[in-house]
Amino acid sequence: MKRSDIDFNIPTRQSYVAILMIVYKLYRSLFRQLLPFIVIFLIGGKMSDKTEKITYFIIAAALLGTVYGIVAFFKYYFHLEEDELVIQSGVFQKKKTNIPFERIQTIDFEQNILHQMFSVVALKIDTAGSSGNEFKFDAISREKAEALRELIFSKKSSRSKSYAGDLTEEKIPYDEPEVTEKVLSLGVLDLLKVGITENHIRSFGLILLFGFWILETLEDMNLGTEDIEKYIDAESVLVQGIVYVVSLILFFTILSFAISLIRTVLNYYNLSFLRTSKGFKLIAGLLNRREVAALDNKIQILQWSQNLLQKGLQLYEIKLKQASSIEVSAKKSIKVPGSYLEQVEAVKGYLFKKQELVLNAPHKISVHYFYRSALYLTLLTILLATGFYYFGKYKQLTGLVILYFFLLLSFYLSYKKKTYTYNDYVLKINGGTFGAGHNLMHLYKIQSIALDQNMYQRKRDLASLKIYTASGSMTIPYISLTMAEKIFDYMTYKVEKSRKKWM
Amino acid sequence: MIEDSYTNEQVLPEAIPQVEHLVFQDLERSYLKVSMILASLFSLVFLAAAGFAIYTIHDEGKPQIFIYIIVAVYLLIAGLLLFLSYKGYFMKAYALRQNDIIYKSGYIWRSRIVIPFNRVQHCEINNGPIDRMFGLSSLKLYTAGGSSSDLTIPGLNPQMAQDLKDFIVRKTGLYEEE
Repeated sequence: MKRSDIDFNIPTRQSYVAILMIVYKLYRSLFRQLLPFIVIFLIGGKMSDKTEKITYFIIAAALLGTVYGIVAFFKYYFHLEEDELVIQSGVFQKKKTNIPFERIQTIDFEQNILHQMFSVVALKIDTAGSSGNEFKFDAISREKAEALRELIFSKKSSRSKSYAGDLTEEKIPYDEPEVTEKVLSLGVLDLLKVGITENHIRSFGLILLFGFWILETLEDMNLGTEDIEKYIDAESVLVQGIVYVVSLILFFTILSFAISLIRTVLNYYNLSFLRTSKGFKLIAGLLNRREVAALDNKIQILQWSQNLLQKGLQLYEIKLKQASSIEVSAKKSIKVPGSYLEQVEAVKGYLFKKQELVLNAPHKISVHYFYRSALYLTLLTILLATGFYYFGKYKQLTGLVILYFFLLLSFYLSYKKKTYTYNDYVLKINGGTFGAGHNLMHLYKIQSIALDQNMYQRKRDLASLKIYTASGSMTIPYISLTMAEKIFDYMTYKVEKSRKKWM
Repeated sequence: MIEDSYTNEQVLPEAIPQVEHLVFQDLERSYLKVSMILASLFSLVFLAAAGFAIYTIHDEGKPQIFIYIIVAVYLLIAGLLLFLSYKGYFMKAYALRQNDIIYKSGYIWRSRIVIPFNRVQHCEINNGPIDRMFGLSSLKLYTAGGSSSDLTIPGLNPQMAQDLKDFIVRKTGLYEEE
């Protein structure tokens, strides 16, 4: 079937593979919800009356869900009507959704392993305006999806053209953004680097949660901690205790690394980050291969950052934060790990003109930013420490003191690293605690500005500025009130004078 | 098209309008009553909590002193709530300029937010049940900056709210035509 032969005027169903996807999604969520039961069931092994009932219930729910999913598939139609995408759906209650082309912002493709097997794609349509307006087709054949995207965007551009000038409906073919340059591609070694320098705290947290959860379940089943504690008591030699702790830490560290590595490989396998004629494109993933596009006009903030580990390897993580209809979701920002300064400079060069990047030395913020948080931290610590001392919990007291100095140091560092600078075109805010982060944005992409003062700041003639954009807000904390007012006025002026479209 | 309209005129510092010198408009006086009523309603939630705590203490035969403490804490919270919304009323004010609207608020945490008209997505007039009792309306402006940057100006008389809305819509329409 050639692309042009596909008729979108008659209501069509999705590809039959969609049934598979719907059922798969259903089972996956069912599995996630019931995971604790399943594990207890497997560990416990006892087939009591209750578990039997639960099993029947689960099977019934799954069957019912499958039937519902299949019916829903057969009741789901879409077609194009003049300049709208129309979706009809609903098992019990008919629902008709019209999406005007002009409101469609992006159409993204996604392929998990099932999609890849049947050469279909999931289609995600994101619209502007009220939040939560996202539509997803579970499975459509690739050529149909491409034809649909092409058609929608070509009609969209012809419409907006006819608005601007004369009313002739000349069709301007939607040109699929052409790939002009490869900015970055990750090989196996790069992937390894990315995996090692990932933020392990999240993996660590996951493991910890899992550990707690296992313990809890064991405890629930009465074969738990008491026995274990007895074992430990029996051999309560100090050396052994230390060996325990060290090996436990080692084990957790290695496990976190492994998990981060696996996650990295799954997400960023064979990554290529491309420059197209209209923006950027990122293709990556092992089982679930994603293809995400970011158009220049949709990108609101460019962020590049590195944590302590990444600093050692001079690696950066680039984030292109896009405007989104959904409340500032992380999904809408494209994350490019494993970049070097070279790639950062390249992306900067694509998004900003040379003269826009001529910036003054960054301004520091007031040291009161540190003083105030240090003050609160100290007060809280003293309060807690007195409590611990009073009840004779010396171990906890030591821990508290260590934590106190650690937090104090991190507060100090984040004060030291928070700087900002701006010129006639852009605003740049730097930050970070142990690592470093940089945010760069055009002034005309600002949506609104707030100048805030708490009581502490008022006494010292300080203020914080909050800059809102269509992809999240940024704060310049604790600067002098006169400076804050100056920036507030200046940026308001810049936004109001600008005739550029922020998106 | 974007590139063509790119200009770079020099701006003299005194040419930039300054917010400091603005004359702010206060909210309708009757809005003070509305905010006091709202605060009182809100303190009822705490009253329920306090009542429950007293009931349990009484039930378990704990010393009377706990009841006094709870009553004192409740009175403190309720008083603070009323005090802050009273004071807060006098901090709330707005200023309309040619190209934007500025709203300031907050007694403890002072805030001043500006929304340029060329960034307004849409605006609406709301009046809740208590607002209606006092013949008030509020104006809400939406931007693409997310819900935390959406602006609500309460305590407007309905005609004023409508006029403001018309003005802003006219202004935002202007930008779209260009």
